[in-house]
Amino acid sequence: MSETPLIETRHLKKFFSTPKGLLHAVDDISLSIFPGQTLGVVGESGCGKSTLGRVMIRLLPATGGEVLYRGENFLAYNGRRMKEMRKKVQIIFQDPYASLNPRMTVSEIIAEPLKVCRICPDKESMQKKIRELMDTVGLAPRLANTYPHELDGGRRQRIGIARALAVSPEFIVCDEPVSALDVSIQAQILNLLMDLQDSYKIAYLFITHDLSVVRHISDEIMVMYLGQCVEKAPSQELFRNPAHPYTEALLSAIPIPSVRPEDKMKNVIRGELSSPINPKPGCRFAARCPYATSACTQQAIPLTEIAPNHMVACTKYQDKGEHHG
Amino acid sequence: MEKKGRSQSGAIWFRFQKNKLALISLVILGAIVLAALFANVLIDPELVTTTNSSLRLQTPSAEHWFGTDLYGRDVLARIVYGARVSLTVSVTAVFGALIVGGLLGAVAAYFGGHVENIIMRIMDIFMAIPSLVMAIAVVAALGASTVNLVVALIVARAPQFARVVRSAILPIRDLEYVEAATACGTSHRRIILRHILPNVLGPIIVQTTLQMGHCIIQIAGLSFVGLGIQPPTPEWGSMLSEAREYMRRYSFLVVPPGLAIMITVFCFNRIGDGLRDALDPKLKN
Repeated sequence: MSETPLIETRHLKKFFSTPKGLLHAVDDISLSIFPGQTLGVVGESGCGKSTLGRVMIRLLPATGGEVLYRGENFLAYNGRRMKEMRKKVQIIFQDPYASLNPRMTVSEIIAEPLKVCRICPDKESMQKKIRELMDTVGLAPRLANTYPHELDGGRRQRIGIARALAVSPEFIVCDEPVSALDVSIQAQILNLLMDLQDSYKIAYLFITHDLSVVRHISDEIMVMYLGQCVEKAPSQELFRNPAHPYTEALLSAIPIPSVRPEDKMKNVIRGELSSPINPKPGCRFAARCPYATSACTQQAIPLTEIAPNHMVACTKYQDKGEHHG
Repeated sequence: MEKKGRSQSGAIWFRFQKNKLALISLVILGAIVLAALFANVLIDPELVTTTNSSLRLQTPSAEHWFGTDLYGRDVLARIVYGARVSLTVSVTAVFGALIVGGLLGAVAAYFGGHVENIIMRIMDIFMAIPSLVMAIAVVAALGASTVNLVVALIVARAPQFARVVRSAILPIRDLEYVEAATACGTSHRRIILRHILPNVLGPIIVQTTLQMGHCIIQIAGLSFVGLGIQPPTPEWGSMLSEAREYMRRYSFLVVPPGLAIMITVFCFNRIGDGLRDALDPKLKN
């Protein structure tokens, strides 16, 4: 991985002010994604995965930190440069029912980014481009004049993908693109996304809470807990050697088809997520962690490299061996 | 495209026509609108303003169906031409209020935060003043004329639209298709006009219809006190005002303008109610 990353975040922060205090949705996330690579982001609901994706493409303003696109921080871009930038980064949404304007036909929806970004000089080339895009994502041409509500979830999600592809982006945030779909259709959409990545060298930030999905598609995986990155590793490595107790618990929650009682979930996390509002210093998982010690809640725990490209934020690995449990 | 448009509007029509009162109102209102549109074909415009002291205060007859007024003018002619005035003014005023109030409400809901607070608090101030008093104040300040009447009505009605449009947009604003539009760099203007407003047409249509009725009453009310349409232009409210003085002896004079106002407003309200039920997604089967 000697080339420069396509997109990179440095100490990216997003806090929401709520009546009760600051909600730390994304707290000091640094990551990098290379062209044509996929970074999977996993974590439970409310851990800030979607917020991270939205801040990275500037759908939400960041509270702090930088997002670099080919080395340039585009959070500082003004209106015109940002408009150019919008063509490079796109998003695919989770809910194929809410993400398509119910008053527009399929071709109108796909045409919208083409019109806004003035990609096609005339109507004819626009129609041609729409047909190409529909073909690319596997939508039959006869669906061009239907409305989204007449189509099933898989087809709707294909419309959303075509819309994102319309501006030929280099980076797409996939915000749980398959979690609202039937299992059989999930595989189709995942394969479509992987095919598109192969043909157009698009980089993905793939947000999901479904570990089997993330394993299928990701080159690298980042585990998030309450706005923080607790572990980051290449896909195989993470599944082979989960280091953080939270990752361990997540992996053990993957159902194994077996009837033997000892194969039942061994490592179930107990307790609720602690509040992301004005979190206490130290490891945010400590309250639910079976290995927690007093050292865990003293100060912020930095990411430590325990194997090549395998980073983990846990006191267990900070000074090796000492707290090994 | 047409397929869905037809099926959806077909479903709305199906629900609307089940409400018989609304359907009858629609027919009556249609007749009133047609009469107003073709008034000069139906009735000689001369009749409206020509005074004839020998024909003063005649009771209804075959020649003058609704009788004649103080100046010997045919009351039926004045009612029909009055419909033209009332409807034109109220349509202009309501659409003016819709555009002004609707855009303010849309901007408030879309941008949120301080923008929303400032706009909506100003609207609250306007709404705290009864709309008739507000309209009287505007007309009193600008002088009584038809144009000023329309301005007064727009000022008095716009806050209602702002409120309705804002509350309709709030749940849509954060939907993902709006985000998707933002993600490819769509301007705020285009997002509001093309992505958001088409999805709140239902409540807007209902509100527009209901406001028509209110507006007609208000025009009549203002004309009644001499601040609306100025004589000799026929207008229901001013006719009522003129007839009021002779109500004891010539009571037939108050009936036609009174009924005209009542029926028209009733029709608008029933149609508005019917539309609300027909467009309300919660009642969808």
